[in-house]
Amino acid sequence: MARVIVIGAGHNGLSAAVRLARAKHTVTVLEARSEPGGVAAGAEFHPGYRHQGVLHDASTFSEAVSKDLGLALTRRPLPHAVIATAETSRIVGEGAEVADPAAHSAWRKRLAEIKKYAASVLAEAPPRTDADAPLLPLAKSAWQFRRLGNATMMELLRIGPMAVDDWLAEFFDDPVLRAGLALEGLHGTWMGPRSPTSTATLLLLESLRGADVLGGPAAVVKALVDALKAAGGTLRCDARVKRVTMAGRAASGVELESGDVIAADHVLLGCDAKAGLLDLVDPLDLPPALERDIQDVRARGLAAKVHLALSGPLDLASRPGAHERVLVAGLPNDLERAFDQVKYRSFADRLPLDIRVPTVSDPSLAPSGHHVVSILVHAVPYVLDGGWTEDAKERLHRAVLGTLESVAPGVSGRVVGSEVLTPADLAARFSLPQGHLWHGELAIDQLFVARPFLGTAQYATAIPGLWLASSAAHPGGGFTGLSGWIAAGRL
Amino acid sequence: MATSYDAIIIGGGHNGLVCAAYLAKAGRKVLVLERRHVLGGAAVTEELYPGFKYTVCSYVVSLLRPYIIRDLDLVRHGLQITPLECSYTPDVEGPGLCRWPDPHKTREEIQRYSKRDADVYPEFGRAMGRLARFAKEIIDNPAPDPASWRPSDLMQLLGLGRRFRDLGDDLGAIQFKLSTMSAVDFLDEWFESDFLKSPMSVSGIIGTMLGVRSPGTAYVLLHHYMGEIDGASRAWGFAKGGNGAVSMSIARAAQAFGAEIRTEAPVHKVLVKGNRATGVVLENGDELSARAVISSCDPRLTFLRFVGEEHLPDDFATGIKRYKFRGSSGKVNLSLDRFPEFKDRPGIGMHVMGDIAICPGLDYLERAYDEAKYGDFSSRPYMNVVFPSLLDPEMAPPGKHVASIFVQYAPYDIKEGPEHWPERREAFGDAVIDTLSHYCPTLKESILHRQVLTPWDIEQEFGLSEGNIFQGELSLEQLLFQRPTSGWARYSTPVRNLWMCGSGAHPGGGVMGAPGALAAKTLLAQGGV
Repeated sequence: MARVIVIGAGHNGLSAAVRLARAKHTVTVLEARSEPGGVAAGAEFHPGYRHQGVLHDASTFSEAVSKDLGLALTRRPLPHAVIATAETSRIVGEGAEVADPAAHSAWRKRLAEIKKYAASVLAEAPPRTDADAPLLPLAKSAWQFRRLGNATMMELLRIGPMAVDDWLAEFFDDPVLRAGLALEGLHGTWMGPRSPTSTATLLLLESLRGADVLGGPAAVVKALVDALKAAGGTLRCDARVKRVTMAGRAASGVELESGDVIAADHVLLGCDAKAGLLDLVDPLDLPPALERDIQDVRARGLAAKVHLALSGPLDLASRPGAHERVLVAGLPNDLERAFDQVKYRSFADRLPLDIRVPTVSDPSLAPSGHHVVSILVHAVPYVLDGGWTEDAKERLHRAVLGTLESVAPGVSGRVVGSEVLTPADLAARFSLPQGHLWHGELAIDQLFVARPFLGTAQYATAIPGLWLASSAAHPGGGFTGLSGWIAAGRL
Repeated sequence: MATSYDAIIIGGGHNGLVCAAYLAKAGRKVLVLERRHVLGGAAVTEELYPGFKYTVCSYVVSLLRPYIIRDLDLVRHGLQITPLECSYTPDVEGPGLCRWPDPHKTREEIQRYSKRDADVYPEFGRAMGRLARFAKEIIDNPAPDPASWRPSDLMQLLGLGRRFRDLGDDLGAIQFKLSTMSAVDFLDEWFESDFLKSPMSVSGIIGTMLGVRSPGTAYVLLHHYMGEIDGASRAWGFAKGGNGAVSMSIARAAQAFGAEIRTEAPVHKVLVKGNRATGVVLENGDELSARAVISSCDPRLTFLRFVGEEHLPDDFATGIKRYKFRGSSGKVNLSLDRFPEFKDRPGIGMHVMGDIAICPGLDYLERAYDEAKYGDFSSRPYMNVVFPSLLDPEMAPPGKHVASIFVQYAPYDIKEGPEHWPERREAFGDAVIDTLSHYCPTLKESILHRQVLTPWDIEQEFGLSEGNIFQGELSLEQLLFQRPTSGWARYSTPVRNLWMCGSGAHPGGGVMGAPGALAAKTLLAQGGV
């Protein structure tokens, strides 16, 4: 019966906590904010209007985790997405009447082959690779890979390093479709559709994706909190951790900002790994190699979030009707140009938008007839020349509305309230050092055995009793719960 | 003249010649067929303006394998390499940066930009030097094959795995990062000064349509250090007489071993009978037969033009069609009335006796790439400048000079369409001269003659598809066991008796000679000839 503290009540921290509590450990989850959920928490952003989480896609939340933890979630097929431009649109998604069905089914078939393999790899801890690592798990990984069969294995080795637009072009001639498909795969990366290795991150996202959760991330958080309570775990909000306390070389608990000291056998970092290790652990207690490695982790945020309260529906010029998912990406080069700006610490006038309209399936989030539009804005850098001033924030707001107006003319006139969260706002609100939502960019050198960096015995850190349990750890990005759940399993 | 050979080699570039020399040395009856009037392919020296010799395309000797120099006795056949004395990055405002063979001098130079970087630089060099040994293993052997169950292939993979683990945790992590990261992300972990990182990062983008911030560009950084372990004087240097002299020394070695070489003998088709290559047809209609046909041309030319899709299995043909070229560089060669001195360091000192990199910052390099991505040549390009006449006075008349300027980015696919490059050629040349004039204010008035090569010209004149200087992009998915396509990285092809020996085969481009040598060794070992 160990005493365990989990820092951060995000979906990974909670997934870890529930698993441990169900295994009869004494678990306390400490959350700095006044409510649990972190970037997955729903909130009222304008009087009478709620969103379902800053991250708004719950379809990546692992079915293995929800089943193991006995979460009461209502799954449903992921609604189709509309890829919209000013003049035209495409529908994508399973079961929907999709654009270019032949190419689409060939592409889906290829994804399914890879997904079968990926599912086994993503749901367990990767093998150690350091010089003292046992050979058996390594051999098992190699064997899993070879079992794919030569054709699929070689195909994966071929396409993984490719730029996602090059790979999609092998299936689709239609640039509008390619841009829309690429957009979601770029989330959490520091890449454009023409960056090599962006195919690998699209494959990761697609492999994590399953059925959607009714109620979105907020519903998952609620289920996790209920499950934690049912299993006897404790959740303390408004409990900001000041530092991790040490007994010798090992973690011994935490001290809160309030001055409370809580002793524990294990401390799990469900928060951002950089913030956790660099801000909460005394530099003198941090082994130099660990400090260097965590500092080298790239976590440059490049997403912003905009929530709009609309007095009516979001009407797309090119596709009438109510749609829950809308992707605004333009053409592949538009997407690439938007990313170019990031490199020069700036953002474009037309931004890639990943939109959810949760009120389509849950009208109770807004007054009758009104809607909530949740927009994940891509290619907005944390590091902006001139900094994130009020003026810069207003420019971002205008760029997002301008882009939205181009696909849904008249929408600006229906906005009755809005919330703009710049990468700097996200950083401050959720304790993310550079505003990166997944605590580490998705890049092939920061995935699998190398997440968050190579040479760590995964989840455990060089400090005994201190564990990584956030998306900084494998499998990383995406709203999955897997990182925390696997960490708890390791512990 | 005989019409039947043990081996016919298509293309008299340096790899074709190396392959020919090795086969002739083993007693095979070998014929090399070159389309142009001179040998050397892209490693060629030509006098295009009286008295001034241009090392037309490739211009330095990078990683020419030491064992080839030994095996073929190239020094006896005239190979003479002058080491490059300096890597100089001029600056318009600041003092510029020279990296010298002498670490103490280099330290002083780097200190002007960052004291911390000056301290880290030697440590970085040591780590890279040790990794270079690991990488050398890869370029000096045929590519490992992860799909094969043959015991010898599994042993090779295990051996590589063991060598990787033997690097230890720290170096292993660095090697892993090198193989996957962008040059800039990788260097960011070590250095802070933009002005130091810029010239270091460019080795990752040479010849590729990628930017210094594109993932997968870091590993080429190793090449620089691989040169050092081969012995600085041999691996990174300027060949007396230009790179054409390298080709000629190999040609002489091949001839000394008994190989026959014909120039102005363009091949029309490879003869294929029942899935077997039996010889070639020249453009003049002559048919020549051979037990083995070996192409040093790039995969597109070899399979889609000389062989023909009808003789290829579907998946192989698809693989070859997908193989990316995306030429991204051009070349400007100048005849100069006098030496155009650099603003930040006037005079003809040791600083100009090496390669000179025009890349004053990472954003500069990235912007050059961004312009090219959307179909323009860079208005302010990255350039690598060498003055061959300073390293070998015979390249120009006394007191006069030649300049060799490698330029990136010049995308093959300009937005007007590649066939419109001839109309854009002079504007491209002007952008190069204008940019260089910022650093060398007297450049313009010293120019007597200039040759501008666009990727289109490189394709038309030298037969390199899309003007790619490495016969295909050196991107991660086109390296090792995937070069040129999965399952065919060991020089053999689906057409029996037809082989590859050019840079489109493992380990790829650069004046290394490695594909030519490894192909010859593979052929001999497998009884292919």
